[in-house]
Amino acid sequence: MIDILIITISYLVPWYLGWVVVSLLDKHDNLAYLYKLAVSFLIGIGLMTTIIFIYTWTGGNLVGRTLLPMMITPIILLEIIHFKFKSEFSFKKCYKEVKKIKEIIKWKKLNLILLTLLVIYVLSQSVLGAYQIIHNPTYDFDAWNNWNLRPKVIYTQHQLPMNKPNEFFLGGGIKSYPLNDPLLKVWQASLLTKWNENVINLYSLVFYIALIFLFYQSLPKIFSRTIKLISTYLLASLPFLVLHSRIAYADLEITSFIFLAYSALFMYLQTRDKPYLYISAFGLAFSIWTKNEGFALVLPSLIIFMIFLVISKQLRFKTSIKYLLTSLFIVSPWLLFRWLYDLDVLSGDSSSFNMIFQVSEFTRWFSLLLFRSHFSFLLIALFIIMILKIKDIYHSQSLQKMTFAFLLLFALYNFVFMFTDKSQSLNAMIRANMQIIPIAVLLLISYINKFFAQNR
Amino acid sequence: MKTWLIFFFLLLLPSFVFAQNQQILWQFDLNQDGSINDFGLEFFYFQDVSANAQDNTLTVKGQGKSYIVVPKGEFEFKDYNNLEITLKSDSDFELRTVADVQKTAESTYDMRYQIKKSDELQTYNFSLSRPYFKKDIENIAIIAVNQQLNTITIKEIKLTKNNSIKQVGVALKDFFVTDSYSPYTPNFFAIPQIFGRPTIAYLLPIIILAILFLLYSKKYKKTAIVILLIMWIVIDLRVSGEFISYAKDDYQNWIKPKYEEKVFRNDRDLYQFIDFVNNNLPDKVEMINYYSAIGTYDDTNRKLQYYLYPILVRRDSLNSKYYVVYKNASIKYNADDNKLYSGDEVLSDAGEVIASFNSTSFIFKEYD
Repeated sequence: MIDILIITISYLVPWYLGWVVVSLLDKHDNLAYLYKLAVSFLIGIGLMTTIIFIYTWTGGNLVGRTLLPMMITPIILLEIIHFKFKSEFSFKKCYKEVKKIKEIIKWKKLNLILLTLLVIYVLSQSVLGAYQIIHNPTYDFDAWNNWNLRPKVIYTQHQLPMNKPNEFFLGGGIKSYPLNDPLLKVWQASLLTKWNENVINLYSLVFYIALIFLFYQSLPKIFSRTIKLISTYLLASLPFLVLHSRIAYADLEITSFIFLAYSALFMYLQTRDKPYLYISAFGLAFSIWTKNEGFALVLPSLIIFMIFLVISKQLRFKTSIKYLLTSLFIVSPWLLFRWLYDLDVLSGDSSSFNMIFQVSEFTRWFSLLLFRSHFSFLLIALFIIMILKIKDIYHSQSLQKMTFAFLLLFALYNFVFMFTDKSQSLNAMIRANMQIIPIAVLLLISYINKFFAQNR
Repeated sequence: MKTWLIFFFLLLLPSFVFAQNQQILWQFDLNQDGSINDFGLEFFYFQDVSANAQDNTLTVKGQGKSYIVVPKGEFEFKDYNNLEITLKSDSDFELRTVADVQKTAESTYDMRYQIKKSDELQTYNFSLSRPYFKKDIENIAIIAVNQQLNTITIKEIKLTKNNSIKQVGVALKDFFVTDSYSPYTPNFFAIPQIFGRPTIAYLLPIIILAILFLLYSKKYKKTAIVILLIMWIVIDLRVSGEFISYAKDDYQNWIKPKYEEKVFRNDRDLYQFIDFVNNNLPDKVEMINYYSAIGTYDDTNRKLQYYLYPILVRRDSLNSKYYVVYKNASIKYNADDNKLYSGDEVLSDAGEVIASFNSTSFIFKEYD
């Protein structure tokens, strides 16, 4: 029980760190406080692991609970800065805002029922997941071969192993994998003062809930509450997402960061509120910091999307450069490290690939993605509407941008599987596509909202 | 409404009329010379196969995987959609149906069935409405899989053809068949299927129609949304059932049993073995030589490395005096010279077995 309490604290500390940072970014308090709470969690986790990385890279030792004061210090410093600029501490603001949650009882009856059903649904999935995670050993291949092996090694050695030829370089497993996920677990093990995989593995479930919360908060204000609640259920019930909430992999983490990057960017393009742009930059940075797909696929997709926005005069060139540089600056410690240690860009321990068209795999790719229920019939519905309403989408500025951004991501992700020898028999294809699937849900709901209203 | 009902009935009528063709694959029968008719069936890996004239049954005894192969005769398998077997078994076992066992041996989770121990003969139906059985296949195999030696008594094996009403029942049953958690599940999990094909393929026309109504019909757009949502919820409930079945399996095999009886998925007793190694290796040990089962796909060395770290898991290293053997029957301790042998080859210097997990799993230490 005490371990569960410590694990809870291990999430509250970075959440608080993220909250102060986001509060500082939101100079004029334009953002909704629940949205800020949702993004704070992810940003806090990414910032915390980046700090731990810099600390360990520069020779910092991880004996005992040394990381705790190291995390408290930046929070205090940032709170002082916050006080200087806004004349109050950010936690006070948070407390005031959280009290507003009472307003929920003013919601329409239907929405209250839907909210209750959604909460029951997510809770029941979470309880079942937690029960399994707490009782089961680490079973899945990439968990004991990479994602759990690395933090266990780093925690046991009390330092970051940096001898590249050694099999336990950066903790072992595949050398090029980024360290966001392992260092979160190192932080948790250091608070627990032991490696307890059964409570540490709860992180996937925490990210599942965090993603659902973020998704609801990221839905545009023009959507009715009913649509918001139903679409959040659609995301929460995606079979493959639910499955991964119980698996000690990093796919659900990168899924959350990619969604943060894209949803905040879409919000910025609609509202032109600068904090969204910074939040999106954090999302992009931490997707690079979580899995290699962030650097190899998400970054190029966003660069192409930026070029499209600049050419179509929807974004100033200066802003796009500022956005990309901010993002690269946030993740610069890892990029510098991977450059100095000559780490591979793609997943696996090789960046080389051959271009081949896997014709024989096309039917399987098509069937796995569309018909085999991993994402229910989300992609079928999305592509049918996209085809039928292509003209309307083209003429709607917001839908056009969202569609283009999603298709770019989708094309790049699946290009790797269909046209290179990196596909490894499509084994990781569904998992990789899961990383962009919340954006597909957002897009589908945006279509339905628009065309349902149009069809009157 | 009445017209529709009559139309529906007329549509189904032929299937009632022409229903239930059957082809006997085995039942007790004597040839003209008095010998027992084997109907051309072939038996592989059974320890004993015997026909019993007293109760007109066939008794097969086996452990592990044992096969009954049914070759194509004067009939085509694709003309039937059901395999009916009347049997009883003295312990629980898994029955698998496989198409073309000597060529492709294609089988999926929905072709595996759990048969419970029973004292009375019971009739079981195994659907052949699977794509694999619809090709021109040469044979089908009935595979019995069991951990311990079990005896199966068979009264009759036959192929039948279900009528449409029965097939609706088979479709519903198929939809709810779940698979067990496997090492591949994080990449693909078992999806709801009907007749061996994805359920969504059957729903596709409804999905397309509903979307068309949603986009272009003012009158039915709300109905279309409701239909899409209902389909989504049904798939969600079904897949949630899949996840509950994983949890149920884990509870029954791993959480609930006593420590020594715990079995975790296909890792079986590996975690008890890891505890055994941890408890029996002296604290100072930094490296072990590890030997697991030979000739099978085996990643237990990597898993052991994760669980035993900071102890290094190696193979054939001269820097370790400790040899950890797991489920490897070819590695044996020779009491004559106190050495470990892998087949005829000497594996170690003289030493002793310091702890034994079972006959094929133990820890050996070379003398200092």
